[in-house]
This record gives sequence, C-alpha cells and structure tokens, in this order.
Amino acid sequence: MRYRDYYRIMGLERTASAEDIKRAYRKLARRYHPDVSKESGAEERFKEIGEAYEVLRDPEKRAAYDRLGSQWQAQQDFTPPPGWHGTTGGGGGAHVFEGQEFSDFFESLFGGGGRRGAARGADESAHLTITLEDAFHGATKPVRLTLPQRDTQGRLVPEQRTLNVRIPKGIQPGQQIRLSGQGNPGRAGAGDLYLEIAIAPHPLYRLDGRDLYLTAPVSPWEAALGARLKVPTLAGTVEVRLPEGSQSGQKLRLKGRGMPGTPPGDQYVLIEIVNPKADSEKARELYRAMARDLAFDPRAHWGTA
Amino acid sequence: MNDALKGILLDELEVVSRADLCGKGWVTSEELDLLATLGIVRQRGDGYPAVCLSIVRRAARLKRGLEADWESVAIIMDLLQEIEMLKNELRGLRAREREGLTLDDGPDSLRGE
Repeated sequence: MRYRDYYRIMGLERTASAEDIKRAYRKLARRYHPDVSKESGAEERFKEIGEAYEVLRDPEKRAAYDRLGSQWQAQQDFTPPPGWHGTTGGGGGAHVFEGQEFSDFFESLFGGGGRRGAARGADESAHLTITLEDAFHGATKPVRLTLPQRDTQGRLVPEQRTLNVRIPKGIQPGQQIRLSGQGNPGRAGAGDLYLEIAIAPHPLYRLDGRDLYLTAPVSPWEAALGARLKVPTLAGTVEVRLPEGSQSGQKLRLKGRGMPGTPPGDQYVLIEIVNPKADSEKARELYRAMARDLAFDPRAHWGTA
Repeated sequence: MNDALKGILLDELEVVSRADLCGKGWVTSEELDLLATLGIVRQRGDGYPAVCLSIVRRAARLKRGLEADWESVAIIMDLLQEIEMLKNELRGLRAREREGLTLDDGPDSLRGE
C-alpha cells in the first residue's frame, strides 16, 4: 500500500493548528465538492480531502498519524510499524463523502471503524448518456463501472463490472435511476447506485422539457399554396397539412407526439422556407417574372421605399 | 452480462416513504421535517415524490461536505437549481440560434448613407 501525505493533500504544514486545518478543509471543500465544483476529477479529489480531514481534525488520529514520522513521501510503499497501535473507533466519518470506503492506508492505521454506517457499503454515482430514441422508446443499456472490491486478503482492488440497466421510456435528462444494492459492497449489504441520465444531442430534434422541435425546410410554393408534408416523429412518419400562406418561423403543433409522460409532450414543426438557387437562366427568369408580376415589398413597413 | 436491472426512477410520480429517506443515514426524522419546512422536500400523501431521494442525498452531501447548516444548504440548493435551469435555457437558446439562419456579410457589405 502507499503512504498518504495528509498534510500535503490539504496543502498544510505539519505544524498547522486545528483552526488552519478547518480553514484549509473549508476552502478545499468549496473548490472540490462534487455538487458545486467545475473541476474535473473533483469527486476523487474530494474523497481524498475528506479522508485527510478525517484524520487531521481528530486530535487522537492526528497524533497517531504524526507518530509515523515525517520521513515518508507521498505514494511511498508503506507498511505499519510492527506492533502499530493506532486509535480505535474512528471518528464517525462525518466529513467523508457519501460514507466512502477509506484507503487501505487509512484502514491499516485506524481500522474500518471510521466509516459512517460502517456495516453498509457506500452509495455510488454514475452517468449514462443515451440517445433520444432510447429515451423515447425505453431501452436496456450496459453501464460499465469500476468499483472497489475486497480481494481474498481483504485488500481493496478496483474491479470492472457491467450492469444491464432498464431505461424507462420518457426519461428526462438529469433524472436519476436508483439501483438498490449495486453500489459499493459492505458487511451488511451493498450501497445503492444512482445513475444520472444525459441525452445526447440529436441531428434532427431538439428537446425542450417533454416537447420536441423539428425544423421542416419547405419550398416557397409549398408554403404559399399549402402542401402535405411527410414529417418524421420518434414514433414514425406522419403526414402533416401545411396550410397555404405559411411563413418561415411559424410552428405546427403535433399534439402528444413529444416525449412520453403524463401528459406526453408535443412535437413542434418549425417552418423554414428555403429558396431555390437562381443558378440557371430558367431559374433567374422565374425570379424575374415573380419580381415583375407580384406586387411584393417585404420591407414596406420600413417606409424607406 | 447479467439480466436487465430495473431501478426506481427518481421522478415526481413514484413515491417513497419517510423510512426510505431517513433509513440511509443521510438525515434524521427531525432533519427531514426541517427540510420540508425549508421547502427542500415536499410531502405527497403519506410519502414523498421519489425525486426527494436525490434531493435529500444531495442536501446531506452538501451539509456534510461544506460543514454548512441546513438553512445555508437550502440556499445553495436553490441557487444550484437556478443555475441548472439557466444552463438548460441557454442550451435551448443556443440550439434555436443554430436552427435559425444567420446572415452576416461583415462590414464590407454595409452601404451607409
């Protein structure tokens, strides 16, 4: 196992006072608390800080840790001195993130008693990004996790696990699924796994709450004369009547065709008129004819004519 | 590969019990009542919406990790929620902006009087 330099983790001198330790912890917690931090790897760093604080805030544990001496380097191979007698009972683990497992180093010095609710394994969080189609129809997705497990000698070793998780239809980005007993193992049962769902951006649809938005490019004559459009929805293609005289920016609502729910969302079709290119003499002549025959000034309301 | 696991979706429709929320070591029964008073959780009938599991878990994590009192946690949670809402709105606006046509010919095309 590796030596952990708790002072260095917290950016403190070995002579730091209790007040210094508290202040350093608060500063670091504000920076790395996973719920407020923007730093990458904040969760891992916060666990490390939590463990260091667990030791340094408790005078008994700190004294025991200090007895190891200051000659150790961070990450150096470490074995507790023969006849090592740390403290017992831990300290309640009040500052440890989610009742985490402590490092081997911590447990070799202080035992496992410091863990909050020591008997039950810690809860775990994971993120899963799914497609909009999966969210619409529901799906079963593999979730790969690396969780610490105890080997035959009781050491914590990382272990890869794959869970097949049922994603209910209509799930929203940011929602969580709790999987009981799929977190970290513990003596009185494993903790839970909280799976937070994200939905990948879609090339056609934009999701807003339970509503879906789709842009429909239409030709000027379809918009002017009306048309029947074949419109994709996540449940399949539907035919939609485009009223005559439609303009860009107008929306057609397909009631109940959005994401499933109670009530389900709607799908909005945003009309976007796309003009054909004037890239041939024939096309240019048609545009000239319109300019000539249609009394149309789109900027009449400016009064600049 | 194992069989598909079906978890509980932590939304507004599923309901969890008081024991579910207090049995995790996150909050005591009294603290849960305080969270309700502060508006962090709300009761539904005899239970709570399942989303309260993630809310209470997050609140407890903030309290423990930041050494904050529950009143401060309530403010932090409100602000985090507002940030999340604004981020979503911004994402939506940016997506809408991408959908629209942007004509930007640059200053050379300007013909001021």
